[in-house]
Amino acid sequence: MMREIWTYLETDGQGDLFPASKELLAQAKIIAPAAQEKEEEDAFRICAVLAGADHDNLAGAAAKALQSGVDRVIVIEGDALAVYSAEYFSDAIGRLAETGKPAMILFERTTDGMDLAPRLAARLDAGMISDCVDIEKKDGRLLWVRHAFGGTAAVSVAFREENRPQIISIRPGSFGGAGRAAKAGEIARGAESTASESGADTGAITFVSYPSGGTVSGGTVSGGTASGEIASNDVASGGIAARKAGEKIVRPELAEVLAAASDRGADPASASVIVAGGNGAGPEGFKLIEELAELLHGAVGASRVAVDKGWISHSHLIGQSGITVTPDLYINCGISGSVQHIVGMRDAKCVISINKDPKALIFNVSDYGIVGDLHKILPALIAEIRRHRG
Amino acid sequence: MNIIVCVKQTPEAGKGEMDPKKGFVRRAGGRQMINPFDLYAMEAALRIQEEAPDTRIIALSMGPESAASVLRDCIALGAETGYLVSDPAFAGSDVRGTAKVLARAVRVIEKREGIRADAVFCGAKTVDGGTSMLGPELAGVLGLPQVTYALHCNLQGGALRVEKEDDRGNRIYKVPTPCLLSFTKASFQVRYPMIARILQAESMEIPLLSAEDILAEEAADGTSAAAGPAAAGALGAGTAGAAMEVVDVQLRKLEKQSQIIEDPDPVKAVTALAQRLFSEGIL
Repeated sequence: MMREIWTYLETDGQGDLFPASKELLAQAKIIAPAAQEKEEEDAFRICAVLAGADHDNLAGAAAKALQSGVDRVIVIEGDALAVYSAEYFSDAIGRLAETGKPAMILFERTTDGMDLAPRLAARLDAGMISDCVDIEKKDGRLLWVRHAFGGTAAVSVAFREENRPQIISIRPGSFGGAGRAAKAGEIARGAESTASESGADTGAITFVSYPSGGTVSGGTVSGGTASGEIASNDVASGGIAARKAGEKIVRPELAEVLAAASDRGADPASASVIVAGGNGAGPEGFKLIEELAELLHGAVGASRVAVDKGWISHSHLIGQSGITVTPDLYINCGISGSVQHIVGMRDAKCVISINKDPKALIFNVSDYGIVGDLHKILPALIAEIRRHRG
Repeated sequence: MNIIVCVKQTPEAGKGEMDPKKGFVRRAGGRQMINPFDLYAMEAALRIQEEAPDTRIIALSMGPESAASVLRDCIALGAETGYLVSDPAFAGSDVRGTAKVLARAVRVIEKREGIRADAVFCGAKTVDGGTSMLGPELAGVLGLPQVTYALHCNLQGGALRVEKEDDRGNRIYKVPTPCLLSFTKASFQVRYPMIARILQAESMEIPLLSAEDILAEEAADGTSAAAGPAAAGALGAGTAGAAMEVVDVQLRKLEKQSQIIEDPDPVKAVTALAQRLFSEGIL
């Protein structure tokens, strides 16, 4: 029997994949052969799953997924999917999975991924493992490795049920920096012409339609709530299991998308170099931090205080209430090193800390440190690197 | 508005460890306390109560009997009461099982208190296991609309207006009730309990729900044929109901050999560091 690993992908809204989804595809290619328990078994096929309502956007993103080497793509289309919601997306993917019976469904650990994946697990009554960083085999069993207790423990977890899809969310930057490789490839490809794009094999893309709820149309909803009584009929295109009669889905209504506070370029989640700032940095310090990050082709990170003070947007927050990063180099400036921050960066390969306080806790988890004022240290460091490079 | 706030007892940040044989072990000096993210959920509920004073807040936790203390913390902050779901047979429950039991407990609370739960609040993650899965799984089992990573919310008609923290720019949602919100750290401070309420909370009785109690509450005749592991299994919880199992736990060595440079001259300090970084190929 053919076994498949499904990967849930997000689009960028303009006919391409969201960067985190590109990373997930690269990770899936590492996971697929590693997940094969016995040599005589058929290799896992990788199937990309996309959902939404904008056909051109979805078709473009689906073609990109095929180009990156997945075996096939399923696109679920429906008016109820025009705006992302865990309620409708979990129902759509759940009903697709009931007939498609994938062995696993992978998600990247983004805010949408972690909103949707557990809801889908409940929808399918399936088990889920979140924030996986590695995969290993022990006595012929497949184990997923995740970190717990603020990163102090590596926990190996196994699924106990064979008859349901296994749902797994993957930490950005894990699996040997697969995402970084994917991004590097992206840059290389971007330099070439885009002439090859027309070569996508649309034969491997399947479009299935998702029935709309009665009162849902075009993502806006009548009557103030997004509830819809849905007919029990199956859809003609197949692939989507029938909905139970009288089943009702209620979702929140998206009222507004706020602009990110200050988006400082590259995404730290999968960057190989991060320069981060905290309470000691201030708006002026962040300008220097940005300059150094750019010089090192890295991304900017931040502690909670810097985000709360509005110096930088939440997507750059590293720590317990933000993202966990594993760059090769983590340079932090004016971050004292609260437990909440350390859990987010302790797995960086090399940590360099700049702090005025010689007793700052951050020095305990640093490979190198300089005690001093970052406003003086950073310009000197930037000059030194420029000089070294000639 | 009736709000059920789900809370968990977790080790103090940075003080917890796992032992492969004994499960969780406390480090010397470490305390068991309310999961910090659950406190944000509790604070959000209290802010709703300030808007609508007739709001009832009821705390709910699943855990060992010692977890009654985190329910008392919630009462000290302003919750009316707390229910503790506790049964040795629940040991080994995974998130799926926990969500199933909490969903049933919500129904028991509704029945006993004679209310409809208009909103279920919880923390977006815990500082121990940290799976971030409970909120959406519980919403899924209860069939409620959800907003995860909520920062704050307020009443808008019969609905809740919620700001959600998001990678691609925060979003504002209007959520009809009943609903489930999971909270992450907001920019506001969480309040302290009042001394008088701490004392009051100490003496309050915390209703305990075992697996058998939940089944009995649901049965027409008010009794349950099953008890212990059989009852937990019937609820989809305990080891028997778990979809996953922990096979191995390794403690991770995290201390580093630090080379710290202290020099009053920033240029000299940077030169000393940069030379090491260049020679080791780090920069």
